Amino acid sequence: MPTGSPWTRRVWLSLAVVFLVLSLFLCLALGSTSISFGRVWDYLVGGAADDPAGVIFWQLRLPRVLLAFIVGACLATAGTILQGLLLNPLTDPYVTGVSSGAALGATIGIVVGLPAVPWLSLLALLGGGLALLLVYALGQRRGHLNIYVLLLAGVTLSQLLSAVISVLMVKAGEDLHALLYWIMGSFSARGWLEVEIALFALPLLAVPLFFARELDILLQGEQRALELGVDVERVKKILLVTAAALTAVAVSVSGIIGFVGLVIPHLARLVVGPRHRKVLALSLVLGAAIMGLSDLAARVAVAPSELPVGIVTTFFGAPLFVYLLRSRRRL
Amino acid sequence: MTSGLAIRPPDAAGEAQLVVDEVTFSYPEHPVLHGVSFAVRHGDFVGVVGPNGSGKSTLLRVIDGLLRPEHGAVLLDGRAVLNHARRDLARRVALVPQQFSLDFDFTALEVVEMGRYCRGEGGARASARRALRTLGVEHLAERLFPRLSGGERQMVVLAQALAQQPEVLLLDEPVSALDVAHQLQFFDCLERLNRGGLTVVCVLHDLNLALQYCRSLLMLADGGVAAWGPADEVLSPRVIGDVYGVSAHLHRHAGQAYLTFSPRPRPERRGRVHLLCGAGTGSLFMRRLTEAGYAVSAGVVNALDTDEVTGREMGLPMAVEAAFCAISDEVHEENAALAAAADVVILTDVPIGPGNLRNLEILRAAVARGTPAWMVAGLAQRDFSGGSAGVELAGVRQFPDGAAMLDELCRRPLPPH
Amino acid sequence: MRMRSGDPREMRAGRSTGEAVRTSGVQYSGRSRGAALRRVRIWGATVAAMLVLVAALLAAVGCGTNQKATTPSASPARIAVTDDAGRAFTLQKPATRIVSLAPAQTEMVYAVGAGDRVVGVSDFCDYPQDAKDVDKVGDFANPNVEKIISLKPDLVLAASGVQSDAAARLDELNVPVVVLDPATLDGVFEDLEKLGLLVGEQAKAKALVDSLHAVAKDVETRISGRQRLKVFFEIYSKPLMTAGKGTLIEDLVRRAGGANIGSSAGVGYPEFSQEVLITEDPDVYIAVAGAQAEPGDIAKRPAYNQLTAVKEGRVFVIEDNLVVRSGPRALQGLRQIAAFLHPDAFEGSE
Repeated sequence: MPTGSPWTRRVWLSLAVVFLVLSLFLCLALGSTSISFGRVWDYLVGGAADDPAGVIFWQLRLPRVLLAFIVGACLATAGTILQGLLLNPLTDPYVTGVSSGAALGATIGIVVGLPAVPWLSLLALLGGGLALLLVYALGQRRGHLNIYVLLLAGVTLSQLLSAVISVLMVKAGEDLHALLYWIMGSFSARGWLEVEIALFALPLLAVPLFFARELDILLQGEQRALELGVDVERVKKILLVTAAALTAVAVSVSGIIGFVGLVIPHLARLVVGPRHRKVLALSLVLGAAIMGLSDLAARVAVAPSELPVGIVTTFFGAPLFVYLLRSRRRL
Repeated sequence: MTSGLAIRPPDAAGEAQLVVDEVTFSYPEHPVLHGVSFAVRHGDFVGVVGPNGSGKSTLLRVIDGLLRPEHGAVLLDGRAVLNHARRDLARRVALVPQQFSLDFDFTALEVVEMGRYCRGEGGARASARRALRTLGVEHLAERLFPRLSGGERQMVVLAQALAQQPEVLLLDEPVSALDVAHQLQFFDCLERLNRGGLTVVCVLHDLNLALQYCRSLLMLADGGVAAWGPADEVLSPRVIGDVYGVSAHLHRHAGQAYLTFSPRPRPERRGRVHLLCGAGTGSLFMRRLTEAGYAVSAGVVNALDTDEVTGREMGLPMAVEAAFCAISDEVHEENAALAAAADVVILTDVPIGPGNLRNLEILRAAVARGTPAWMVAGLAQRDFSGGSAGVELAGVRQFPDGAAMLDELCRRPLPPH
Repeated sequence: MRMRSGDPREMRAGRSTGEAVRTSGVQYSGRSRGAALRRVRIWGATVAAMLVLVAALLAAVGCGTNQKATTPSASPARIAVTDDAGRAFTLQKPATRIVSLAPAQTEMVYAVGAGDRVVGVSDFCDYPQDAKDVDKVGDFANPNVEKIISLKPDLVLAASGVQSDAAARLDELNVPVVVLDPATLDGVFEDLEKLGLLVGEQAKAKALVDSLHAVAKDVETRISGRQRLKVFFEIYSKPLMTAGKGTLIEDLVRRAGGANIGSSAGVGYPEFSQEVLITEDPDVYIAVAGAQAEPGDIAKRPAYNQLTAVKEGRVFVIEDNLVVRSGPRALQGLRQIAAFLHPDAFEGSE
């Protein structure tokens, strides 16, 4: 693999795992109160603690950090899959319209007045799933799934749902801010309940790794992939559903956080080249770590207040993306 | 539209590996193939040729099961290709596409490895390397695919197809974008593979490549089979003329046949020209005058003489004497008859010797008749007959060279005589 | 002018030889081309003249409207007030047709006894009951300017911030707009008196302000000498939001004998870190009423069992309109907050 120095080639995975573990400890140690790495380790192995610092750790910090890592991994993986299927470097996980469906689900929950926990997340998940089904049905024709038609349908659906949400919000009046806060990506006040919902995504994260070879071959185009023996329709369907489901889970627990799904796959390709076996693994790790670190910045930058994490990811992601686009490297 | 040249009727089931049976296919509102039938034996090297839009690429895709025909079927060893799962079919049939794009930094070896997908994980890298070695391009293995030249990329794509270890290899204009050297190198590889038992079906534009490498040839026209049979029979000037609408000329040189082409001659007849030629001096005249719309005849030329070969290939009326013999009386009479029917008689700058001295009489006879008689000046230099040539040649119009004569003839119609 | 004989187009047109036959604008004779050109020029000139005339008319109309907005009438002003945006405002006589663009202002107007003169309120004005029956002029952020004008108000009350655009627009159209947006209780008192002036109910306003002062004074007396308690005021739960510097809530909490933790997080209504909340450990936890804000539910939130306020049962819920609307009911809010903080000081009183 000619990308990167020979040293990076061999140890990229180990480096990535080290980075992940380090980030995890960093995110767990830092916050409004600093906890030493040693204490972090003690808490992790010692189980739920009763002292105030321990309670903060187990009830507030740990679930939040875990959630950030899981959501980061989900978005980065979904982005990698979609960029591979669509051969388009500008694709992010939200193009399928699933995020709008999730937002609509949450809106309905707010308007109807259901308690946010757990209903908003569950309705968001349901909304995302229905949006996926709709967009999928629109892209299907005689057994062939046209991904570009599906994308167009996704974009159109997003617009339509935004309009519907606006109408609902006018009627909901003062609950508008509830929806705005929900949509604006954030890990604030998320706890073990959201982590439990997000755990559904863990098996999904493994799915694309089984299709890494197929994703590589699909880079030559669907027709060539057919010629080489790939069951293109089946692979497309499985991967698309996986990407959409990962996105739906992420959006339902933490709202819409931008740039992570778009930029992380490119970063990964920059380091390890285009082979999906490596890109998927590295995207997952980098996505998790970087989302965790972004949330850390959101937590400490304006303490005791907090920034929405989407602002942090956009703040760092946008210039990074511009840099990647301008660099000579093939995306 | 069959031109009556279906030399190879559908084979007995035992022999044919690939059978295309009455295949009809249309894109929405756009018919492409109808009633295409032919059978390919194991180990054959089949070329598929035909004018643009005749459906060659589409046919390949139907054979590979990528397109479903409305009628008819494609059978591989008796089993329909559409009955196979994609992966299974990929183990038996490989396709080298016309266009190949992969704008990512994969190495050539990784690209070839993708061809092993249908054969499972085990030993992919080694097989890929072997495929590259077979084609003599193992040195490209670690190079980045997008940085390779066109010729190198084509070889890698071929290696990718070979990595599938197919029984049948389909190629869609594999060398259209390559220079001459790479074209030949590529086809030499194909030939080697074919000799090793691989059945090859290759869509081509270059009829000479087809003639040189293909054993059987399928000529498509307007979505149907125009001809199917041994390559040298399908690529006859007549069939080519019917299908492509150009004049084709078959030549042989050093044991190899090759074709040259010229635009169809203009339909209006401009007159008849009789050539007194030989030793290759008349070949250019034959070609240019025929293109310009003249009916050309020639004589006397000896058999196996270059001009005789040209004239024969072009189907011109000629007075031909046996090889190495002097002109006999009957042949001389034939010559005279041909010359008499002509509107102008031309003596090229052929060397005159005892063998063709009598041709000069034809020239004098033409003058006597009042038919324009032309010759290239400087007969004395070409006289190897011991001076007998320099006899009375008054009334013959002299030209500095053949080009001037051609110029005159092609520029304007003959003066009436 | 020649007519091309046999030309079917000309025949069909049925014209006599004397005229230029024009089919699809094409002339058939060279000599008539000059005539046609002249015709085009005349048309052009007429159209241009008409356009100029229309433009002049529009300008005249526009100027006329603008001219009305430049100077007020010549007679000397009887009521002069400086509003919360610092603009000097003058009215010739007390307002008789009032439009209020925000709930707090509506409450204030009714409280000073001018409720019968209210002709338009915002969609969210729901107190007192009478306000609900008044014509609605749009929501908080986008008041319907046309509707407002159609009601012919002589006084429009607006809040600051998001409504300043609408206020500016109304200004241009020479509609009297007064911005009253107090951020403290003192500000409420001041604005009630200004409002009294504007509507000609000075006496009622003064009486009201005096009674409200009394309430505040009473609270102050009851809690005097007591230690200041740490208070966390929750505005929203997910994300956790609190009231910061410069809000009415901050003022109420201070007057009620508390120290508002949220002030350290910034101005307005900022997000607040849950971890810091646990670390700060307020004595009293007050949440604004909403779907997620039942004291029982609050106590069950992750890590909240560490809070002193939860352990001692000092978690309370308060109606939001009593603490976010800068109007007379803020005094009720003050009293409730004080009662949360020092229940013993308020035993026996309503």
